[in-house]
Amino acid sequence: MGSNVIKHNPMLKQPIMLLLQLASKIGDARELEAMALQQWEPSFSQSPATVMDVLKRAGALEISTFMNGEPYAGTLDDMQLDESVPDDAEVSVQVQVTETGAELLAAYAPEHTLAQLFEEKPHYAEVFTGILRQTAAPDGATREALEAVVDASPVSKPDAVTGQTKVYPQYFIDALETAGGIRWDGAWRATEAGTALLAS
Amino acid sequence: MAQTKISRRGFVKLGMFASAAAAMAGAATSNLIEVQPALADESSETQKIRTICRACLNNCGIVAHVRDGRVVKLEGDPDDPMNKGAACAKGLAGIQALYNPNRIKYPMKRVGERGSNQWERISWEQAINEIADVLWEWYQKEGPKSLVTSTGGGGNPQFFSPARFLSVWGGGNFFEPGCAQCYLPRNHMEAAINGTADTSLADGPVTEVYLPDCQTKTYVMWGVGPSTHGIGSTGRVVTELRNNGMKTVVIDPRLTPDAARADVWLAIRPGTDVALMLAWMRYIIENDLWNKEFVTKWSNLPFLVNEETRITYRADELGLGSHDEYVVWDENTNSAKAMPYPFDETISPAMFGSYTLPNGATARTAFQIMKEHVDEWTLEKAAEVCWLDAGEIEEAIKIYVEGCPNAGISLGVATDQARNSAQAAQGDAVLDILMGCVRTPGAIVQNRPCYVEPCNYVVQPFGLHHPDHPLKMPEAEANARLGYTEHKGLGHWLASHIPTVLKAIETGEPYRPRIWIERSGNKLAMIGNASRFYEAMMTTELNVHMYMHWTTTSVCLADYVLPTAEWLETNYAQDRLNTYAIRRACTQLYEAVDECMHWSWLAAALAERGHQRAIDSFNPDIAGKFYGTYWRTYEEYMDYVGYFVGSFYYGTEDWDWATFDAQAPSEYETIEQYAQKSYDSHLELGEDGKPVGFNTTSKRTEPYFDGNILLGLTGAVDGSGSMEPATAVFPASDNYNPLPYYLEPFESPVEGDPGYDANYPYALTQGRLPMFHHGTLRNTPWTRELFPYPETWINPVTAAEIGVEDGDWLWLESKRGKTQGRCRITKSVAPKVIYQERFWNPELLDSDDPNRAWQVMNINVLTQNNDECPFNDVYGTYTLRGIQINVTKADSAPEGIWMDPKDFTPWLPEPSENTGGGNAVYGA
Repeated sequence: MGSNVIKHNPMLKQPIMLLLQLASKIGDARELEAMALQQWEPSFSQSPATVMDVLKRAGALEISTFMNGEPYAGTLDDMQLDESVPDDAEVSVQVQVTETGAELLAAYAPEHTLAQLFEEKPHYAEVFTGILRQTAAPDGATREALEAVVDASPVSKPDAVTGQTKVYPQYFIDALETAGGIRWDGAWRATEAGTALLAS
Repeated sequence: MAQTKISRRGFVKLGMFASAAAAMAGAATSNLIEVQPALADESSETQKIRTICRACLNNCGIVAHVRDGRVVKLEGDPDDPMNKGAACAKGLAGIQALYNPNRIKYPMKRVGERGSNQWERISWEQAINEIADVLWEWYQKEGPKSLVTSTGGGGNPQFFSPARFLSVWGGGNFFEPGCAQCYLPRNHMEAAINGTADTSLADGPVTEVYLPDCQTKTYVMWGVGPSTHGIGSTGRVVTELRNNGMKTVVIDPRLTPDAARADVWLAIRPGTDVALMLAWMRYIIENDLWNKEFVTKWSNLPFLVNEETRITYRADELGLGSHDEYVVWDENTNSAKAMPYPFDETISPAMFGSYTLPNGATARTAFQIMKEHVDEWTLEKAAEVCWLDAGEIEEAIKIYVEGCPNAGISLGVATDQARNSAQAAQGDAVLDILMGCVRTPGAIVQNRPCYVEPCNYVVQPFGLHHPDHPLKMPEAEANARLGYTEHKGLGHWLASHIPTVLKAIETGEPYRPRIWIERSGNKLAMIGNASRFYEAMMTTELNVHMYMHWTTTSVCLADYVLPTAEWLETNYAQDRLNTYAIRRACTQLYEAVDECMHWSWLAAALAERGHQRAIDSFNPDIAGKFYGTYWRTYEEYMDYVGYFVGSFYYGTEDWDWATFDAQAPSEYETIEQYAQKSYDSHLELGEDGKPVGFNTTSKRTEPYFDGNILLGLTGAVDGSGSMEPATAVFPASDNYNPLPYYLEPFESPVEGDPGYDANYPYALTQGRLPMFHHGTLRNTPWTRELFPYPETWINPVTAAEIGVEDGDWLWLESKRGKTQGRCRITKSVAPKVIYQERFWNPELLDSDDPNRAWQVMNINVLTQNNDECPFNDVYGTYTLRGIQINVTKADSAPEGIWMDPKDFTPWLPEPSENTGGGNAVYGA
């Protein structure tokens, strides 16, 4: 599931990326959860603990339990029920990003995905750039404004032979958001990666 | 207190008794075991509620026995004019479906990743608000194209609910796995050609057979098996008519109970029906058997055709008359003449031939073009292509012709499920027109129209019949529906093309639907190439599943599941011939609600967030009385249903639910009026003093269907559509064809054909079973005991070739995947033909790998729904029947499946109290 965890759970993309980024810097689970909660957005839908579980099952995070500084062969839940564990035992949980997790971080890093988008769709580069430019404005851009950018481009015109519209404005908005170049907060705004790309 | 003993075995047999389907039960009944009899009290406190079944499309009248708020017994309603007391295993399984432990009881939210089958119960308020939040965000971010909705024919009485929601939403896509693969081709094409109605026995328009003095002399059931698909109403009546002397011809690859009792059974090769139809057409033309009076005066076959455009000439094009007139060759004057409507007796139109027009062009009559078109299709050629005997084909045609014009052909779902879907519907319509079997006593094609296509659904999309309705989906959005440009026949049901939807989700082009709201059972078992569907739907942003029971859609794909009411928990209305019947909620369990409320509540939540069209949908001045507003309570919805029935059938504008409930079921006209209103109704005089004719552009039947070309070019069969294809660059040959034509199945068993692959030597077909409707009832003990696993029917010759025996477990493999079935060796299918029906295994849902529930015994793992397999041009039909597979022996049954009757014990009914359902805990 590792490589598919974001592909198959796009709603979890942002919380997964946030947790992986935090986990690559913070090893202690409590500290990690506290930090995650501070940055957790209402739209994330699932709790940090749930997303942590998802990443563990996906093999993206390795979660190790320690009792009195020694590795414990079980989970925190197991420990609660383990009568051999003394009541005053010092318990800690460490989180580590695995190779799979690191691969996910790299694969979904907006700098990478944006560059890939432009590389794979060079014929749309002008429209992508036009959208990034609109969204880099201080007030961002409305959907209608971005649609106007696309509508002004020949790429959105129906094919002369088949009468089919090959791409609608939503294609470009969707592609740039998926690649991490723009984000929505009531208006479309260029992300840091998007702005950087525009500057380059 | 009187008590009636009902054993479980006896309970099921009661349903089977009503039709010839008992013949099917031979092997299956061996799976039944004796159990302790259930006891049904018949105390004075038992309330008998007249209602309507919805276990399938038959809508049989049912009497529900309710005691202490619980449904304890179901039986067929003896006073229903169509099922007359009969009921089938599906309908009688209603109690087990209602009280099934696997009901989705409360709104649930997934915890963890998709497919992990971890859930938390949430309130209706939380569910509606969280889903609406996502909807509203995506509406603002990307617009209405972000949403795709779907439904299914699996007993869903609110077929148009998703499309209604989309009309309010303002765009997006709607699909249904039937549609282009079930009923749409017939429902649209046949009515467009004969100007009257389609010929589906299962879906309702074939009313003639139910009349008390039915005069049908010959009934051709082409891929129709009433004794397996709709036992209570259709199976019952066909059995009765056949017993009374009606001749029948059955064309079906498998020996169904109806085929077994037919005068002629043609065991046709799957996917070749149109080849056979073309041969029937040729035989009728060559042997001069066609109905001269009807075809000459009431069809467009005498009209001259522009050889360049392939469209029939209008008189004004040649300076012969007005635009409303067509052009014929008058044999009296040996000249081209305008044919006034309805007919000029001084003109003797040539039916065949090629003529020189005043402008110097040469033109043939439409009939001449048809004659030349079918000329190659001799009986011998059809026999070779269809794996039939030429003599038996001729015998079948003769039986049909002898009964005409008091005869007809019903075309079933089979031909809808292959690339020739539109052509088969064309062929069916053409044959009945050639023989004059339209609006005559005993004909199958009758003018007793549904008010709402298809199937008289009460709840309709806004603007379905009113192009200027403010809540109709905006034209630009409607034209942007995925796959509509290519397959414009989909527009008749406001539908999108499933493979194109999947491709859009996969690639983002031309735009990517982000949210999927689904109201049906189990798409992974019902949609072709299920693996592709699964992969695509795993990548959407949000999946919401509305259904009664947990299925693989809920467990493997959904993020939210919303509990939906069973038919015994809902209120609705349904026409039954000349009567209007009522579905009455007998109880309401848990927090389940009628799906009309799911959509209403979502619309209300969107309105709260500022969605203007959603706000308008609650405004009676904007929504209007015809469609009604969206409903904040179930009572509001019920009153709308009452109003609709009163307004359209009883001529009163002041009905509500209470008025309807007080008198239903009742006759809205006498059976004599109902019967007579169709016969020769095209001859009735209109306001202009002329016959009203048929519901076509020419007011005649149009067996040469040039409307098909106009449909392809503009989106409407009369050329009035708003699509703007590049007509100037389209070669005429790329247009939809005015005449039916045959394409060999893309994967062909015929050596030498480009589609032949020796690795896949067997032609696979599928078809209904009496105990299930589509994907339903695999989790009710009665029905699973009857049919615990899918049988793979194999002819003894083929079985010997493969080296398998009766009862062996098999692997079936196509180019798209492999799955299992259990061997049943039978001559009920021809050599090289394999039959297996769709299946899924609910018992595997609660396992380490819930996906196995749709994988281990599902022939839709094998079927086509991908770009390399061509679709039907008009409707985009992909191929479910007539694909090529290989069959090999397996070591064993799939691990973990239930087969023994005792296995199904966990699914026995879980009696539950009437809670009032979700309506009791939530109101928008």
